[in-house]
Amino acid sequence: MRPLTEEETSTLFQKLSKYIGENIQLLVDRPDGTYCFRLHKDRVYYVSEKILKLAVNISREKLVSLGTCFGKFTKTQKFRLHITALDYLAPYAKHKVWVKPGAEQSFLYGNHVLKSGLGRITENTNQYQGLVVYSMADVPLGFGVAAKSTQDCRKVDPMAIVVFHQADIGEYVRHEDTLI
Amino acid sequence: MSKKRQGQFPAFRNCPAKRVKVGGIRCSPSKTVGHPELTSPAPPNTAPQLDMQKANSRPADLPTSGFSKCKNGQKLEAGFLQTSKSPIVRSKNSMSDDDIDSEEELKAMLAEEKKSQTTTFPKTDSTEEGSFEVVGVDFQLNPVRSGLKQKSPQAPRSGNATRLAEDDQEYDSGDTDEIIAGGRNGGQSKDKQTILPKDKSKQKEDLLKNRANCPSSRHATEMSKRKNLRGSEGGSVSRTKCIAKKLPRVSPESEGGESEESLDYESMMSNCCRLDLTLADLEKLANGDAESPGGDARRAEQALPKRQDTGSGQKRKKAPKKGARCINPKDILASLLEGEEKISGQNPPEETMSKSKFQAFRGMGALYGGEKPKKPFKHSGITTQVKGQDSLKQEASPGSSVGKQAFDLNTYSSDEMSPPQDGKEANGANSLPHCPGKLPRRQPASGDQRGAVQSPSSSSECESASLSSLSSFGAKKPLSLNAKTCRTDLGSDDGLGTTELGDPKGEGSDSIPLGPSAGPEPEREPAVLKTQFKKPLQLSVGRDGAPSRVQGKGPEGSQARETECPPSPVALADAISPPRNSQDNQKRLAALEERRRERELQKQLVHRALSSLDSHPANKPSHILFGSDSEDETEEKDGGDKPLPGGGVRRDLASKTSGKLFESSEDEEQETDDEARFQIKPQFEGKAGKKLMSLQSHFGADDRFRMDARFLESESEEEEEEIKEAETAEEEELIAEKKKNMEVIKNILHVSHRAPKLSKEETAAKQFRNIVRYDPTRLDHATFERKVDPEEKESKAKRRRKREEAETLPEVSRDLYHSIAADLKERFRATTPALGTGAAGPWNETPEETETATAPGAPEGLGEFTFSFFGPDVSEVKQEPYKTEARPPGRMAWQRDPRFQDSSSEEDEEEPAPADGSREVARPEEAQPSEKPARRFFFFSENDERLRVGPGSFWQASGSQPSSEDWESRTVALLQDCRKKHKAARRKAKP
Repeated sequence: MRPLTEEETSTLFQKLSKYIGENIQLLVDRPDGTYCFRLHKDRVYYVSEKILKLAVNISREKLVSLGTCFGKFTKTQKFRLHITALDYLAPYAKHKVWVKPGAEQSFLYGNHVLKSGLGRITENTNQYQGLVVYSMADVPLGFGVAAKSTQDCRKVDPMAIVVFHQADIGEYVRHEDTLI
Repeated sequence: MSKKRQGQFPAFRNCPAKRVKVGGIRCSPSKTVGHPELTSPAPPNTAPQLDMQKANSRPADLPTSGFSKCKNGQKLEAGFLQTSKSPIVRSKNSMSDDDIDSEEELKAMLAEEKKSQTTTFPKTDSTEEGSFEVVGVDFQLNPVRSGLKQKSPQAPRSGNATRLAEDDQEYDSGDTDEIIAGGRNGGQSKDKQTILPKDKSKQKEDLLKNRANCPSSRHATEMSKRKNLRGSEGGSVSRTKCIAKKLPRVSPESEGGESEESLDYESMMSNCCRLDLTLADLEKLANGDAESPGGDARRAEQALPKRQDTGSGQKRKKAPKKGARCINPKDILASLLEGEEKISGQNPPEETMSKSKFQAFRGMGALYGGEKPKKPFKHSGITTQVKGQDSLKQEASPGSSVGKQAFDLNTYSSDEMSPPQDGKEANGANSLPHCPGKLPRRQPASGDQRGAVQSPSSSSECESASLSSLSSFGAKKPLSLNAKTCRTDLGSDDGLGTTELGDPKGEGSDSIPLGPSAGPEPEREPAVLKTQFKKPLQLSVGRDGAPSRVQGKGPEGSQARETECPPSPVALADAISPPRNSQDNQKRLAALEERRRERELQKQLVHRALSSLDSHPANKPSHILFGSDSEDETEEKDGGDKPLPGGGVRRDLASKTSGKLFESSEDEEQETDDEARFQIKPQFEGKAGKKLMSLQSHFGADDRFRMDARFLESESEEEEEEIKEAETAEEEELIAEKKKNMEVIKNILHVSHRAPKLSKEETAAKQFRNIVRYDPTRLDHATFERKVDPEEKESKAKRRRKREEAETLPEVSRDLYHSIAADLKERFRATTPALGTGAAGPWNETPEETETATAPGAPEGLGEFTFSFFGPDVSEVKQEPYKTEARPPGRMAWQRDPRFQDSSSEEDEEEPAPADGSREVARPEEAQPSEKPARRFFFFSENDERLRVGPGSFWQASGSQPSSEDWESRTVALLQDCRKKHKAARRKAKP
């Protein structure tokens, strides 16, 4: 467990900013306490100061997880967002997509969202913009990336992919063993 | 039937009809058939609240429209399956005669629906086009908080959950409507009560209006309301429940006879609901009844005419009234009885009726309190009542609706109250056999006491006996049975009448109960009285009341009784069953007695225990006495006090232990000392503990210098400080990290990171927390030290030096030098006498004189040496007199003023040396020519004109007005200018 290097931090924040924009500041500078990011076994954890102090007492090898896992750094030093970060990112999401109940299940199985399953989308969503996917009942389902901008979404045929799947809450079941 | 028995429908009868029609219309456009989304009632985005309100006002659930299509045929099933049913359907069915109203209503509703559709559909259409909607960035269904699940009121297709939510909201908002409606209903019911002679049609209209006014979901809301009421009003709960229970039971009976069963039932149920709504009013009424029993009777009388007026069709309207009045079981019974009486054709005179009613409502109070009202009741009331009942039954058989209903209710009540009625019957029977059973036993005990009091007439005795038995019975009942008090009261009050309800055959014999009592009266009466007396504790009031009545009124009533009650064999036949009851009663009495005894015993025990407690301190010395003698004494005393052997032994043991007390304590102390000695002392642990330990060892084992934990403070402080330092270090690290992160964010977002504005308190707290105390001993605090630059010092020194150098005297040209002649001796010799004289005389004159004296001798050469720097020029200088002369103007730039031209100081500076020399040397020569300017004082001569002119240049004349005015105007301008500049500066500083 160690703090992130500057490079790692920038990579992480770049990724996060795709989803929540400048709201990262709210994650870093929280009024209710000090929170920080820690790297442990290539995974980035969002930890409160309190837990951090406790976790310091545990040796690196024995420590499995601490705080909330936001994602992990791949071998190529790219950051991959995990579904566990959803609870922290969803409230700050800038761009959202609501999927129809029929497409909900499909998305939760790890599939992309087709236009036919698109119930609602935030305006001014650019292509490749990070999105938080919601059900029509406003339940956050996961992360996605806009395959088309909002304007393009109007034109494409119903079977076209509009949102690339990134992470969904089905992973809690599917990747139970690897998800920490 | 079964459904109704379950009692589900009244609440769920909502408003299917509206939906039916609306749904049909809605579906007819068939725009939305295929699309599940389109059927969603709520508009997706903008106007959710509006729609919600509409939904509240109208129950328009599209999803169920398919269901409702099947209309009247399967109406009932639909109603049952669906959670709600439309009032319109009901109204149509129940009020087929007023179709116009309902149709108009429907039309209005349809119009509203269309409007709502027009408002809602555009949205859905737009969604249909794109099959998805685009929302603003700040779109929020519900503010999503930390990803928690939340119901979205707008979510068009979330299915049941959202619909439920909507329903809930409906209910919520419906509450207020419901309250209003309830108020209205209550008012109406009241109206009905007060204004009874209303036309049928009018009432119907009222009803219709009611329905029209009430929101569709009124019944459901009513139900919920009722629940709330139940929750809040504990007292009313049981009553409402009673009513709820009773009514469903009544309905089947009523249904059996009539063809419009369901219709009537519905109406009844609806009425029931209304009944509940007016709970508060009813409670008030009930209270009023309790307070003034006559009031209810009056009301009943008022209600009577109406009942008679209304035929079978109006039953349902009456039902609520009845129900409304009858909250308490007491009241219900009373009303029933009243009804019977009234219906019987007003045979009984009004006074007796009212009296009998009084009886009915008396309850326990009547039993305990004065039982005088019973008397007339007994004499005339009972019989009349019985007759009335007979008549009632006769009337009921023909099947007049009113009578039927009353009968239904009656039978129902009798059904429901079968246990109490049994009790009543038992009472009736009891009271009779009861006397004879007890008589033989108790007579010997108390016969003498009461014997004197008894009235002589046998008939009166008989009656009194019966009465007393009744009263005693009534009094007992409440003690044993709490729940059934009212009913039993009633039963006991007019128990004779009620028995007739059970077996109509016995009606004929009005005097049945009295008959048997009359037979054995002489022996019985004392027994009954005794029974009353035997319960002095429980029947304090009743006992007092009963005897007086027996004595006072016995004789009067006896006559009437005698006339009315002939000893009939039927009565005897009736009295066959009693023995078992009497046995039960005896058992019960015995049990009561026993309980009383037990209680007394307990009391005595407690009393004894308390008294012994009180007495103890008086006997026993409270303080401990040392010394064996006193202990022995106390022992003896104790022995004397308590002769019990066991107690003595105990005392002994106690005293022994007390004797050993100190020894044992000493031992304990020693033990504890030892223990304390070998215990680990926490204060000697740790680093600081070591120090303490060493200190302690220094002092030795001296008790006076024991090192407690109190001496540990310093160490703990240090530790704390260390911990704090560590913490602060960590915090600092974290803060630094955070700063770094923010920097990174700034770089990524290319946004000037503005620190989120903290509130003043927070900032203050932060500042306060971050304050670091400067500690010069700490190395890292060297950063806080201000380093003094040595270079700067040097530079300063240099400057100083430079300044000093600058200040040093200017160099003197070396061209000037003085050559001194070799033979100084001669020169000084010659002049010494002259110098001596010169020194003695005044500075001004002596030299002059000497010089003047020597002046002629000067040409002689060096013989007479006069010291002068300018030897050869002396003559020239001499001729220069000190005089004022005009200088050429413009010689000095600042000396334009001619007044200053003659100031000599500058001149002197310019030519210091020659002037001085000339003065020194020349003065002697000048002395004579300077006689002219009279006397000179310093540089000024007397009456020097410069002195006169000079001051004029320093102060202005008083008459210089224009200049002051000028200044004033200028100051104003200056001030304004200054202010302007100040403001501008402020503005700049603010943002």
